[in-house]
Amino acid sequence: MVETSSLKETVLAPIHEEEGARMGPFAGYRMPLTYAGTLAEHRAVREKAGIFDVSHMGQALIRNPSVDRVLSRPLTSIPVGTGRYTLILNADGGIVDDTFVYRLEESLWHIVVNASRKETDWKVLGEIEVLEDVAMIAIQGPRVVPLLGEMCARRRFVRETEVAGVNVRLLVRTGYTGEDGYEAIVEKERAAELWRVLRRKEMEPCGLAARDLLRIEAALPLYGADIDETTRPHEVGLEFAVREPDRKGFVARDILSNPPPRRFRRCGIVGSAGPIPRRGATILDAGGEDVGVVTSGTFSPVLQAPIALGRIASSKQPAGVVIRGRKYSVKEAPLPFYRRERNDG
Amino acid sequence: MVEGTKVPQDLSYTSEHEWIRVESRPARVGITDYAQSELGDIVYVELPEVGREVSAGESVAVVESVKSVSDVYAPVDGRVVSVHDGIDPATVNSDPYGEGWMFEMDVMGGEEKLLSADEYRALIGKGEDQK
Repeated sequence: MVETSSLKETVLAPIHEEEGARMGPFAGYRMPLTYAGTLAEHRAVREKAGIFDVSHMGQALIRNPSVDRVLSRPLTSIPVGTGRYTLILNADGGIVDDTFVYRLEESLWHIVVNASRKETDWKVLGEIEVLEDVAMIAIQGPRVVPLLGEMCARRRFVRETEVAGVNVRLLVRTGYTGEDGYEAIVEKERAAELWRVLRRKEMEPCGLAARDLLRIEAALPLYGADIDETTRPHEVGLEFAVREPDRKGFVARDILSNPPPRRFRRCGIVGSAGPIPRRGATILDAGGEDVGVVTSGTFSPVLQAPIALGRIASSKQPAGVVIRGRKYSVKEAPLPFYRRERNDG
Repeated sequence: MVEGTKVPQDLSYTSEHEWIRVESRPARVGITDYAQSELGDIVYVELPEVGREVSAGESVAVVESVKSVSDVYAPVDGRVVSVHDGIDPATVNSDPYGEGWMFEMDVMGGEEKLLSADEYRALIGKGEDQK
């Protein structure tokens, strides 16, 4: 049992209590794991709209563009008014964290980082201004844009706007579910009001368990599970986030401007009806040889089958997994497992 | 959380949240309403082998929810004589004492350690889920 008294809470904790959430520890916070049930919440996001409290994530402003010595792309390469998925890297090309960076102005960027990596990130990034006074609500699902209006295009954002009548500091058209939607970064004192107006629009509260399920279906990596300081971007399908690796001062310049052969590659696997291949399960090839490991696994309601993300020797194909000492056959699946129909350009 | 949790009077229970219908022969076993609610959406049930001899407290089956894997323990000593082939995992959530049953045992001892419905209700009332 994790000592719950030492856990931090987000500003929305009283609302989660009110909503009857089942709470649990995550990255040092007491967070809502589920409300009505993980599968019901998953369905709400895939078919209608769901809201998530993600105020545990780290937020900071960057004014000095040279902070990008540890970032996978130059800050100045992000067009003003847009956001980009960006990695924080170490000198070995290993991933320190995965983040989203929004360029607010010519010389002002907003970075959102994982809760579990905040302290490390702030140290590695150096010259930043951490924002302690904001909360964040992710608003995800096919009904979100119809309900709230087309406020910005994909990967873009609006500053100082209103969402259903509530002032929002930054509204971004990104997410971690594979669905269309927004993430609203809001002053702490307005977070509860925003949550309530969204609930009145019949958006369902969703917990971290559903979020994990949704992101695995969308094949979005989780830091600490699918990616970490020992994995390089091109080994885990994230080479698209690396731009201008030979730029001067870039921490991973030596290793990423001429990347060494991949030690492993990312793979998606689908099982037939059977147990879930979870993190740590061994992946076998057709000859029964140990060729990799599962990094995230769950049961996909969309595919009605167990699914997993894994790391496998570059030249190998997955054919089986070992779960509780028994072998089960699996197939490699193209990623993502789930892709929504796009109508947002 | 315990409000509305069903604990049928005519079943016996374990502190690990299994139920067993001891007066029927063979005795049917499943997990309680409280257990299914704690686990959340169940997506896979691994059943024991028919014929297996088990001791009370031995792990015999596994239930997987989206987020977790949990053992199901033999409530008593005995032998597994049949299993619920083709069990729909969702029925463990929706009907834990009916369609969500898991296996049947010939009971060979250990019934004296089982809890009555009242005793089990008292146990979950205390929030005895801190294992």
